[in-house]
Amino acid sequence: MKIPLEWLKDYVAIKKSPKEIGTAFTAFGLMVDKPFDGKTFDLEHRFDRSDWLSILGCARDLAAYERLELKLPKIYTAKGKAPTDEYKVAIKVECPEIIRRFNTRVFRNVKVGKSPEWLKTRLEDYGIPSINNIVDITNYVMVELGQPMHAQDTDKFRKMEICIRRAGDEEKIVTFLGDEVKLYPEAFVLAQDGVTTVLGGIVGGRETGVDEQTKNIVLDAGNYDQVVIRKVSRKLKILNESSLRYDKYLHPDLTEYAIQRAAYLILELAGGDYYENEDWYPIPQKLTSIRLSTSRIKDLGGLELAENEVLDILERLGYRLVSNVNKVLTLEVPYFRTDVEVADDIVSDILRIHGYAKIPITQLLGAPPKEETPAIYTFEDKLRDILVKLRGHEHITDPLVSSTESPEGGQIILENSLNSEKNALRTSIAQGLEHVASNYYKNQMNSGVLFEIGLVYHKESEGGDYESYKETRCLECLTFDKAKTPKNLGVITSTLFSGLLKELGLTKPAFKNANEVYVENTLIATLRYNGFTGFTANLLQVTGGKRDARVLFDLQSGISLDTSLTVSQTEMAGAICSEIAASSDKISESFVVEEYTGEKVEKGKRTILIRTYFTKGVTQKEATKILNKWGRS
Amino acid sequence: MQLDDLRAQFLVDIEITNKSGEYDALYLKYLSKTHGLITEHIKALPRLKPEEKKAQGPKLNELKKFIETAILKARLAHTKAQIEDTGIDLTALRQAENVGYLHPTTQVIREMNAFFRYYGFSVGEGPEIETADFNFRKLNLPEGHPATDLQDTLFIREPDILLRTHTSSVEARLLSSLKPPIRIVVPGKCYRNETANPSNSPFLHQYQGFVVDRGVTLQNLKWVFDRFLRYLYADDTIEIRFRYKYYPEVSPGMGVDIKCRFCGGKGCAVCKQRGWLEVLGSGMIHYNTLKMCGINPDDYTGFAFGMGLDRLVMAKFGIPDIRRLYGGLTYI
Repeated sequence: MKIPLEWLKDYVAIKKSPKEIGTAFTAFGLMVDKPFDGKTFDLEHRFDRSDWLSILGCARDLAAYERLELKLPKIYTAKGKAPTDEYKVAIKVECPEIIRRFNTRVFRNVKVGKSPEWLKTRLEDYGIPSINNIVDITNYVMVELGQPMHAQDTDKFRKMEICIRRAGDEEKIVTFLGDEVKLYPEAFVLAQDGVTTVLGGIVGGRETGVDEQTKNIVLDAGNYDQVVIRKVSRKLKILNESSLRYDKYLHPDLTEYAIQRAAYLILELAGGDYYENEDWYPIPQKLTSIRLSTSRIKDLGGLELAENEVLDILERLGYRLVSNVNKVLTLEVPYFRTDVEVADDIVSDILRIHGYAKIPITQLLGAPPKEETPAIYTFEDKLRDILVKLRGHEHITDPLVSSTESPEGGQIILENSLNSEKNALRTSIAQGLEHVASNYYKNQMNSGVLFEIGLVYHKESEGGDYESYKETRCLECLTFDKAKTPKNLGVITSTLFSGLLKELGLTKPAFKNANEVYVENTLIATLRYNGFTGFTANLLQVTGGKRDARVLFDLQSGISLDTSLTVSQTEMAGAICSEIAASSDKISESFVVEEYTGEKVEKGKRTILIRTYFTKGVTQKEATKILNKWGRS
Repeated sequence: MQLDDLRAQFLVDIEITNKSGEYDALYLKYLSKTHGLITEHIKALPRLKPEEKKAQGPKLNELKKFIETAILKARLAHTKAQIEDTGIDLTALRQAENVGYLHPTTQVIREMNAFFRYYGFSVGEGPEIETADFNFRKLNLPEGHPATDLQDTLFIREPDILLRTHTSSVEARLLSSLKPPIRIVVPGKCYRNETANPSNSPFLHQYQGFVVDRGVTLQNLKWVFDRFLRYLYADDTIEIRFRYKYYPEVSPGMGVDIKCRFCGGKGCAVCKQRGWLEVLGSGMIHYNTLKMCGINPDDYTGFAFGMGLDRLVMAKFGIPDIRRLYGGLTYI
């Protein structure tokens, strides 16, 4: 929200420097977004406070914070003349589900012309160009009070009627800026005699705009369903000062105040005669009352404030004290504070105007609650440490990928991604790590181990409910080395995987289908020549989340024996090792030391050298006996 | 053997050892706890007459220290001489072996977890594919609430299934399942419908925390940040500013800034001339949120906070572009 300093001073006679004023704004909730440029403050607006999209609203809080008087703008409260049938503009609302109020007045014989300098300067300082005195007044009141308004030239009307209805399917409007906008039925329009004159709450049309020749106008201030305005303005991509305010919840009472203010300015600056016209407001909204126990200030802020300070703050912010019984205040919430829903919101007001800087700092006490960290979180952190020990580089890659990258079924596609490169969720982490490896190559790093622990995503059925969308926790490892053949890289991968198993104390894995690794019939990983995918939840299950607290000399305390076996090319060495390891409880682990394929071995076969470690206390004789059935040792 | 003879023998022995380099054997000959020559004299002490003991004790002690020091000095001199003799150039450093490392974001998460776990917080987790109920509704963001603009949502099935836009969704889940007292932090990924550029990415990391107990106030929240920010920036003199800020899921809300570390508060490009850097959003958990999650807001109060992790990691490690951080273009 932009606040021209001179404009602000109309309502608060503040004598502080712009820097000090900026600090005050920041302290109570309107953070200075950009530095003061000599004329205007640029304050961050946080969507809740519709009144903070008005200079008066910002000034009210500043005055309260600085304990200064708030000076309200002049308004014209006297009733206008009763319009004759000739001047009267009928209001016909065909979509009452969107319209809460449509408040109008008629002005005759106004003198449209240039705005006075002060008005022009104020609008220009705010960032709105001056057009003519009538249009400028509607803009001025919108910025001043936060209520968008609209004036139409009734001499351009074909019929003295404003009909508010949903837009037609193919309906179009040419805005006052000359842009043609195609509408759709969620939008609503103001029309007269079948001609669309205004896109409701968003932008005026050219047809009935006020210009230098205009003499007679109808002025409206509407109150609409903010959700509809939000949807329509975003869909049509028309975001302007009007839609910015109308997409917040404004109270219908604001329309009357804005009309009275605009009436005052029109009569001052453009003259003419002022007539009443229809105020379409079928269900008047009552102001909200909230009960606030003053002890709640202590519950949330931890401090006790004097009752007179509390009441002073509330009065300055526009709350009306209905009753004060046994430290329970009943407060009527001012119409411009549509953000206040519960008593805690009023406590917020009290504390921020009191000043957050004045709230003391107090240690958080109480016994710490019981540990709730999921075992898998701690376990995955341990896996990271293991992989780092095995020289892995951890990476985090984007879970958003292009839907074309994964032709297999079950990929989750996003409905509204801005980017076709990132319109789906990954079904594997490997592709992200491949991309990282390509960056390593580009940077002359030609070998390494990459890993990532994260989620992969898939859906189990089309059009299913929430439960059909699945997240699976994975440890993905990728080995790469430009100088190595896939076979040699495979040796690096299996050594890495073996290191992981060893660190986890999983010395007796089982293998299936050439690349699936099981422990206790649970699939813990699938292997590729250049990496593997570990399923961390399953790994946690089979390890119980604990790493063996083993020390090196314990590992070396048992003896080891090497066994050389000739097996077929297709036989899984891992499965043989597992079988050996499982054959005696005196064996601690068994793994491949070397593989040989070549002239010295029959075609279609290979030799594998398996090293077997025995538990402490097993003698050479016993060990040889155990291994005898496996062949030469 | 008398102590003087023992000293003389040691001086001969160390000369011989200086040639062989076998200082361990020399050490054991004199100082072994079971059979060292000095040890034997020490063991014999109790058998001496009191006056002999009085004379012998300090001498023996002095000789023990002398031998220990002499061996240590000789060993160092020997090692140095060996390097010089063989012409080994220890300064000819080779490229370091490929060593493993943790991603910068993991490192920062661990650092932050360490702080909070010290104060009794657990680490919480929740799904990234989320329902609108946990991502918005239970956090006091009804449909059409303007604050949903703060978080352009990526939908899997509009309007009810989406990618979580903040880690607050985990807060809503855990508040619904745990019973107070609760102290949880949640590091995690979240998603926004944004186009990637140097400072924004459609996926980002946040660090969320929340506490629910009897008697928890804004003053405790200030205390946590006062401690945490000093820890995080390893700076006890850091200046912290607390101000009111609106967030839909809390009331009252609080923004937390630190004085700009680049300009000292004068205003620079990093702090957008504000003099302060916004580091955290926080506040007292909204009455409606507690209620919707099944916690009686009249009995319990709580606070919540959240911060973006990526910019913090980038600042800490000097990474200029978020796409480098998550595109495999960082190597420490």
